[in-house]
Formats: sequence, C-alpha cells, structure tokens
Amino acid sequence: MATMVLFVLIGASAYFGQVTDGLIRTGMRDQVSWGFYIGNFTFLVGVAAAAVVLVIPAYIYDWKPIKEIVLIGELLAISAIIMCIAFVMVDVGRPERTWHFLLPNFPRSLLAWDVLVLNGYLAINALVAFHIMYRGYFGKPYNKKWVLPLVLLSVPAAVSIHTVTAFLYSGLAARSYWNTAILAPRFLTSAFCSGPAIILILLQILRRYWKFDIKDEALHKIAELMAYAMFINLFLLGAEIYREYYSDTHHLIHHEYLFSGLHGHMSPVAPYAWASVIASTVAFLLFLIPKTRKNFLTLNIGAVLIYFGVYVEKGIALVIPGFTPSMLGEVYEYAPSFTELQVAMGVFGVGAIVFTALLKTALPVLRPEDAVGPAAEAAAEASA
Amino acid sequence: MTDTKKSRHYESSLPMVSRRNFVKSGVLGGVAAYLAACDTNTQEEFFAKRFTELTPEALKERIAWLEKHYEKTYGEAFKVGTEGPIPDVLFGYALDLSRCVGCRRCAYACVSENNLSRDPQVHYIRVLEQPKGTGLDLHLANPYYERDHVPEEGHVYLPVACQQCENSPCERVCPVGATWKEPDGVIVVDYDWCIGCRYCMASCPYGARKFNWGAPKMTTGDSLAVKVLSAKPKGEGRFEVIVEEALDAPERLQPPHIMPTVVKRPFLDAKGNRFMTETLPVADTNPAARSTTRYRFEVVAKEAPATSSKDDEYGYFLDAVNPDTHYLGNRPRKKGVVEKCHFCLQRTRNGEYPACAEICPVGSRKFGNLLDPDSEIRYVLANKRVFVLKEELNTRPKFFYFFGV
Ligand code: SF4
Ligand code: SF4
Repeated sequence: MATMVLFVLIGASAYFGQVTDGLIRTGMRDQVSWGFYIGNFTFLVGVAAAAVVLVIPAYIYDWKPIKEIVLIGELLAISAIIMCIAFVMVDVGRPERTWHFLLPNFPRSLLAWDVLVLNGYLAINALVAFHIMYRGYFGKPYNKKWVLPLVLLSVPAAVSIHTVTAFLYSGLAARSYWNTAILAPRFLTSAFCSGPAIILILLQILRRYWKFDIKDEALHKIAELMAYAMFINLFLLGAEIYREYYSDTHHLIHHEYLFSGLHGHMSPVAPYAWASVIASTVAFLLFLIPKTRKNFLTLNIGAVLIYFGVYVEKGIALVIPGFTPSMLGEVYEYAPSFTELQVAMGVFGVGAIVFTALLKTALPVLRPEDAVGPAAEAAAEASA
Repeated sequence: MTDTKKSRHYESSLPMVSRRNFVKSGVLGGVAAYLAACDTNTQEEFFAKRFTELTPEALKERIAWLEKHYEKTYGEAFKVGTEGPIPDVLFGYALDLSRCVGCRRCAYACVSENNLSRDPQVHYIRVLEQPKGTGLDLHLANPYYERDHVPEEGHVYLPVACQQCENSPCERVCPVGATWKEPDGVIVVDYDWCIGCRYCMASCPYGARKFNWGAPKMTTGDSLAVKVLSAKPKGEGRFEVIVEEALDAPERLQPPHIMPTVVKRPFLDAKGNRFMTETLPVADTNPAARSTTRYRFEVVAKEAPATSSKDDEYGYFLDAVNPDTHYLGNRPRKKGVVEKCHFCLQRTRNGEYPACAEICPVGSRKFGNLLDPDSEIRYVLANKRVFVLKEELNTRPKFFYFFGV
C-alpha cells in the first residue's frame, strides 16, 4: 500500500510538471499525437469490459463456483474504468475544460459516445457491486429482482465500451492501420484474454493471503475460456496480417513499421511486437493443453504471458504504428518520455488503491467469517 | 523545420542578444507575471461559451476582454475581429505545382501573419520535397530539406496545409464541437472551447492540424539582417526608409519577385534603438541587383536611422506579433489546444488574399471564390489539369493542385 501511495505521489508530481509546461513533456508530437496514455486507456477499457466473461456464465447459467468471483470482477471493472478516465484526463491539453463533454457533439463523435458508455458502464457496475455489498453487510441476499436486469444490462454495456473504443479508431478513414472492420472483434477477443488474466492471478493471491474459498475448478474454467478467446484473437491477427502482406499495398507500411522497420532501420516497436505475438501464442498453447492448464506454475506463466502480450498489443502495437509513418509520410519515432511513464505509474497506483479499498470493503460479503455488523450477529445467532 | 536562410540571420553582433539575456535574468519575474496573466485568462475561458452560442452582447464583452488581455500580454493594441462569412462566397485555393520552387516563403509568411508559435515551432504549411518520377508517394517526401538553392534538380515541391475539406473528418470527430465548417467553407477552431483531446489530429488525412505542445512563443528575437539604404524625413518624426535584404538564390526565382511583407514589424538598429514601422513595407524591385530585395516603409522615430554600409547593421524582426486578428483566425492561442490553417480569415473576409498567396514569389498560389464563375480559381478548375490529395477518402478538399504549364 505504501508503494502505491508513493507511485501516486510520483505520478502527481510528474503530472504537475506536465500541466505547467504542457504536453511537450511527453514524447508525443504532431506526427504521433497519441501515445502511451491513450494506449493504456485502450488496454484498460478491455480489462474493464472483460468482467462480463465471468458475469455471463455466473448469472445466466447460475454456475456456482464463479459467483463470488463475479463481484471481484465487477470491482476490478470499476477500478479499471476509473483508470481509463484518468488516462484520458492526463492526455488532454486542457483538463479544466473537460466539462465541455456535457455539451457533446452527438451523435457524430465516437469519443463523445465513448465518454457516455464508459460512464454508463461505471454506473451499472458500481450500482450492482454496492448493492450486493450493502445487502451483504446486513446478512441478506441481494435483491434479485433488480440486480439481475442490471447484470444482464452490464453484458451489452461491456461489449459496448470496447466496441465504441474500437470504432473510435476504426472509423478514421485516414489511418488505414485502424480502418478495418475486424478491429472491434479483435478488441473484444483480446479483452477476454487480458481481463481474466489479471483475475486469475488476483484470485490466487486472495486465496493464499486472505484465505478465500476459491475452487481450482473455477480457475481452470476461466483459463479454458481464455484459451478460446486467445485462439480467436490470434486468428484475427493472422487474417489482418495475411490481408496486408498478400495484397502488398501502400497501407502495408504500418505493419512493416510494426514488425520490422522502415527505410532499413529496425523500428523500436518491432521487438515488442514480436514478443507480444510469441507470448500470446505460447500462452494459448499452455491454456489449451489441459495438463498445463491445470498445473498452477504453467497456468501462472500463461497468465503473465497473456497479460504482457495484450498489454503490448493494445498499449504499443495499436497506437504507435497507426501514426507511423505520419499522414505526410514522415517517420517520427515515438517513445514515451519519463514524465509519461511516471504519470502512468501514478494512474496505476490510483487504480490499485481504489481496488484494494473496494475489496476490503467487500470482504465481509465475500468471506462469511469476516462478516461484521448485523450480518455477523445473524451468523452468530444461527450458529448458537 | 530548419531554416534554409541561416546565413542571413545574425545573432551575435547585435545588442538584442544582451536584451535576450536580460529577459532570461528576469525569467522568474516573467513566469510569475505570465502565470498571473494566464490565470485570469484561464478563469475567463473556463466560463466562456462556445463562439457559436455567444449572444451579440456577450460576444462584444468577450472581445473587449480579449483585446485588453492581449494588449496587456503583448504590449500592443490588438484588434480581435468577428467578421462573419461573406454571403455567396465559398473560398477555394489552387496551387500550381509546375511553378512552386520550394522556397518556403509561404510557410514563413504564414507564421508571422497568423501568430504561430516560433518556439516550439508550429507551421501550418509543410513543403514536401519529392523526387521526380515517384508520383505522389508521400512516403518518399522530405519536409526537412535544406538546400542552398531551390528548386533542387530532379525534385518537385508539394506544399500542404489544411485542405478545407467539404466532408471533413476532423469536424465530424470532435467530441465537444470545438471545430466546425463555416458557411464560406473554412474549417475553424474555437480555441476557447477545444479541450485538446487531439482526436481531430488522428482523423485528418493531411496532417494539417497542429497542437500546442508547449506554451506558444511568438517573440524569440529572431531577425533578418538588412541594410538601410536611405532614410528621408517625412515630417513630424516620420521617415521614409528603404532597406535591402540580400537574397539567397535569386537567379532561381522567376520574375517578378515582388515580395510584400505581410505584417508590420518593429525594426531595430545596432544600438538597440527600436523603430516602429508605420506602414506596411512595400517591396521595391531593384533592377540593377537581382540578388537583393528592397522594402520601402515609414517609421516613427526621433531621429532618422543611419544608413548602413554593411549588410547586418540592422535587424528586421521576423517574429513580432500581428495585432490584426480574428476570433476564429489568428488571435493568439495558448498551450494545450489545436489550431490549423483558416485561409487567413482576418484577411480574406476583408477582401484580401491569404498571406501565403500574396508572398509566393512565383505566383503559384491562386485563391478565390468558388461560387463566382468569373474568378481566377474557377478558370483554373475549368482549364487546367487539376487534382486533389487523397481523393479516395472522399474528403472533397477545397484546396486543389494543378499543373499550369
Ligand atoms: S485537411 Fe484536415 S484539418 Fe483540414 S478540413 Fe480536412 S481533415 Fe480538417
Ligand atoms: S483537439 Fe480540440 S478541436 Fe480537436 S477534436 Fe479535440 S476538442 Fe475538438
């Protein structure tokens, strides 16, 4: 926790410098006008959306082992959305004017839509999570009558946040790298990998240190779902790569920048791009084969690889090659500046603090022996 | 962008350098003053409405406030115009690629006319140097060429700025409606409404939108070395002055190379005396020596500037602010917002040519009303081989390229 607070302080001081001097403190310039912040934003939208992977089986099929996990997923979604909003806030040039979003350019701007669906998704998840926690505090089950519709609503809402974020990119005809119909499906499948990857690791930590009752079966089921998602993700990537390289048009240049480089120089993103593809493929195999899926060492290696693979895919490989070369053919080699790294650290710190706080509040609901207040009294009465 | 005319800039021999040092030593005070000024501005802008939603009274108040604010900040009286579009006018531009020599005068005229930041540098116009025979493969273009002589053998030059798309992606994507198309076809930005999200920059196919990554600085002390040929009294502290600027590669420039400068500029001699020009400089052709350009204008001063023997006894400021502005055009911007070419609204809505069209030494730039069948631009469209950039994106630019010869 102290580390997280330190992260936030470092981030805050770097952000203060950025506000004073302007975004010139970042590595972004006119040629590459979005960078690390928007990459992180895109990645985290995926993490937030991925809560549905767990919601769907848990609520629709009433699949027992996952049910408590859903609450954790929802809390993770809430923290991820808060980080998303923070990443947009640190990226804009005039944060004090973001209230202008209240008078949006509807329905034409996808960014206006994005703000709407992100906040809507945040509201739904917060409502459900707090209701469950509130009722749990009094030792009562949650009110199915209105939680269920909300949860059902959160499924399309999750799909919508990632779809709208993908449309935000794919609607730009000028950027051939993004202007592809399979961008939204790719976003969804990669999200269904990265979000659960975080949850897999989180659950094991909770199980070990907070003595959570989480069955192996649940973890393995999640890993199995991830294997399918990763397969589709890699398939879609392959389809994209085939199209670009086989048709070999001018648009190929962005993929060349991504995987090799231009004008005889290796691009700085190429090693990351390859590492990402390799990590994702290895993880897919690990999760596909039942033996390695059920072995916790290989399971965890797979989860980390997937997290890394998708983080690079969304955080680096999506944004930067979209801008390189620039619209007038210029190659500006973007790399995040120290300020950007520090600010991002701060945002992740905020997310971690929010998540921990939420989780601590939810503990009494998640673990009966931690129940406090009326719920504890009820439990004591029952046992007596 | 690197300046191709470094040789004609002098830096070390003039007292204005020490003046700059003086400024540096006063930086702390300056920062404090700047922040104070900036704060009221930020406060004012925080509540400012979108330009299109201001009532006439509110607009008047806003303009008065802005003019006072700019005067305080830049030490000069400012005019912030709000001239609306002229009825039955749709502005269009055409550029003759067979003439353009790549001298970048348009780019620099634009900088001084439109109060673009000199540091960090913002340029609305990028001139791309392209090897001949490569079509329009922009991936082979070089915007950073540095040549002693232009045009370079075997190259063509393609100046690109905002194409004023009829079907403009930038306007479509802006989440807060801070950028829109005016009835005369010009895409404008409300600098007080833009939140700086840069979505429009991602959407523009021509790299035309520029972001103020840092606080724009218009006065850096850069000046052009000139020689004063004569200074005749014109009564009551006014003098008619003729100065001469040496040209780099005049033989490459096609006649007539008349270059009216665009903005009224302060004028400084070796002792650090500042003369304020009173009229716009008018170029004087010098038939005897094609390697120079002369300017004639009036200055206000107690005594006449002494005539000079050397080329670099006087500095002619390249980076004075232009106080003749338009709300949606060239008024000073601040950090964190997007800006772009607006066809010099402050000029064109008052019947003048854009600065770039006026300064082009080879006359490759044609500007006019697309709705007027007798206009030069309509003649070009009807009679020349015309094309637009990235036609396949259906942006429908109102900026055309053509081959005149
Ligand atoms: S060239 Fe770019 S900035 Fe200009 S109107 Fe078109 S999209 Fe907008
Ligand atoms: S940067 Fe400004 S003008 Fe461009 S889309 Fe964002 S708010 Fe609109």
